[in-house]
Amino acid sequence: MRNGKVTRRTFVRATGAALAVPWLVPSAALGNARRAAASERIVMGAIGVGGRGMSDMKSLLGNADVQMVAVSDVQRSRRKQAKAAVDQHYGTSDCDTYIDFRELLARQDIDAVLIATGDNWHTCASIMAAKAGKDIYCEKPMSVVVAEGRALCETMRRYGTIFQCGTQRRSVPRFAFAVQLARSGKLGQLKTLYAEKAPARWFPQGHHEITLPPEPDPPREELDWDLWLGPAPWRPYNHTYVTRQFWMAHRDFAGGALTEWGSHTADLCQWANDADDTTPVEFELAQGTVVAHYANGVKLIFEEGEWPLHVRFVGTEGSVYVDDDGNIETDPPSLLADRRFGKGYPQANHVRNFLDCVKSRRQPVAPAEGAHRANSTCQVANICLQLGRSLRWDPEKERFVGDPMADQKLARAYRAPWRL
Amino acid sequence: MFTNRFAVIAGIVALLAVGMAVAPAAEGPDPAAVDQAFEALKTYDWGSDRAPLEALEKAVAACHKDEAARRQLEKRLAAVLGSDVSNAAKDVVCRQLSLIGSAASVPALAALLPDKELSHMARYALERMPCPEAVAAMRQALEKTDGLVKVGIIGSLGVRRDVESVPALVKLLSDADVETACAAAAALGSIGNAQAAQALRGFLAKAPEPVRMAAADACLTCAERLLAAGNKAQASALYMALTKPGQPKHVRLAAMRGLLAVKGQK
Repeated sequence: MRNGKVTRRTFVRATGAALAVPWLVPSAALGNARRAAASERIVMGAIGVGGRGMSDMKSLLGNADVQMVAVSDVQRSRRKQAKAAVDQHYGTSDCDTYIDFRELLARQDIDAVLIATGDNWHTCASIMAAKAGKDIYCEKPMSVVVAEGRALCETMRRYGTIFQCGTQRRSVPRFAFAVQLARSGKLGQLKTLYAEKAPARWFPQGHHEITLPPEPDPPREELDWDLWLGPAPWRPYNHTYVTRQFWMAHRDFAGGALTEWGSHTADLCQWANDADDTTPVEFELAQGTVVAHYANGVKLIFEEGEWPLHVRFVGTEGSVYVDDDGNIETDPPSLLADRRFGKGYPQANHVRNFLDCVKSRRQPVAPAEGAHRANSTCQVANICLQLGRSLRWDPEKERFVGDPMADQKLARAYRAPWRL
Repeated sequence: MFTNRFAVIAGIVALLAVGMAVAPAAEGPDPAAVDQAFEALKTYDWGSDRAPLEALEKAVAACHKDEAARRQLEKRLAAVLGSDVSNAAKDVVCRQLSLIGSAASVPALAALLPDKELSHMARYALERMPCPEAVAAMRQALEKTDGLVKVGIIGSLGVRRDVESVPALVKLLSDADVETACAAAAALGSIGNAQAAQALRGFLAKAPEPVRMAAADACLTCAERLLAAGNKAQASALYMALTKPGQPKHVRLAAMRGLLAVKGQK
């Protein structure tokens, strides 16, 4: 090679050795009759093991080809609980624990990670994991601001990382069937999609920037406050910040009602509209909510949410309603025929899809780009509500049309040393 | 249940249609409420009632098409930064200036950059402000800062892809502080011009172990930027450097994909 020019020959010579190495060579090889062969095993670590993280981790543990070797959390009680669950599962006592997830990511024996921290950390931790060569199952929503989501997508593409967003309804047959009705044209021309926000009663103070009175910092072993804050602006510790009910409504840590459920419901709507690589182009304020319009004429309405989480797709020839309680109703009823579906929204299939993709290197059912487009639809709607005006959006550039102030809300400066 | 549900939907759609027709444009708050908000800032601290400050946010959102109102509001906000108010109040002000700040408020924000407790919020505003003066202020602060404050400023210069920072960032690649060196590499990768590429390629071979991955990642980012700008030769040179056996497997594979992209075989 001269002058930086690549010929086919130099390319093959330079790359052949590395290409000859299989991608997945699971590392730890402890023998156990209940487990898959070492060559089939995916060695994993879990980052963020609160309620949701524990649920995801247990789903992962239910797969014989997963070997969970380490857990990380800034809270001691959670580390302890997660380690106990892993050790009990394997009948051992060797699950390692870390306050700082960077130590977990530095381990060469770990192939993939679960990231189920608070939303504020999802993007940064995912990007750091990809740079460390790990595949990722990351809880939703995958980012707090649009620029984070784009950076995450670029990083996953750059490293060829398998990234599965925890939008597990994509792997629940009932929801997948409803989406298929829309995509296959059985509802006629798709006209309107209804995506629920999370119930307003979960967010009595709205999507806010409230601060709380200072309390003494807890010992780092109990709760590493600085690490809990991560890239978000600093403030003195108060124990209430750490509660999910508080942080998921705070703009520094999450996207509020819109992304809490919208990352599921808008995601399903986007999928139904075959829009995994784009978003609506107009976001219109209407009675305190947002109606978004796609370039193909389809309308996405964000509704006030109430349990059970549900979505509706309406076309010129029919419609479908589907929810978390196992209800699925179609108009006409013949679209449903005699199909029977289960209840709930389990993540077992979704987790399995991720593990299969780690091995096959195929794209999982909820890849970064699709999850980002759905979540950014919610984030743009949030900006619309915060600024109190309707906005036009360019999905190609991921910028607003003619509203520089709105553009300035698309990114946020990270607190050092964190970066995207 | 099904019929009722769709009746409700039809009702909601009708309501939304009416709502869209009459949805008012965002209106600014009562000027007296804005005055009260500025008054509240004088005693605002962590945990104080935030309700009186909501008028500020509304005023900022509403002034996007009113240059005079925006400049007036900006002037008042910037003045708060120089006054004897709490860091919590300055935090609030920086958030608002991040949306309406111009060159006029840069000096007040720049003064906070060396402050360990306020530097991040100053960057929170400056990083978002499109004026070149905002970037220049961060560039100038590089020499006056160290530790995490400096690391943060380096990161912001990378986000803004400030070409004029490249010479200073190149020097920081060999900084003894690992975080500083890693941040400088990442920023150079993000800026991604020919000069940054040359420096990163030279650094890649000699980067100390704690900085090696940051250097490799920066080279990958830089190569993407170069390729996007049409500079295939330098992009491939960076990618080729990353295919060397000393690099981690996932980096080599990423470099190979990059080489394929250079060849148009993506």
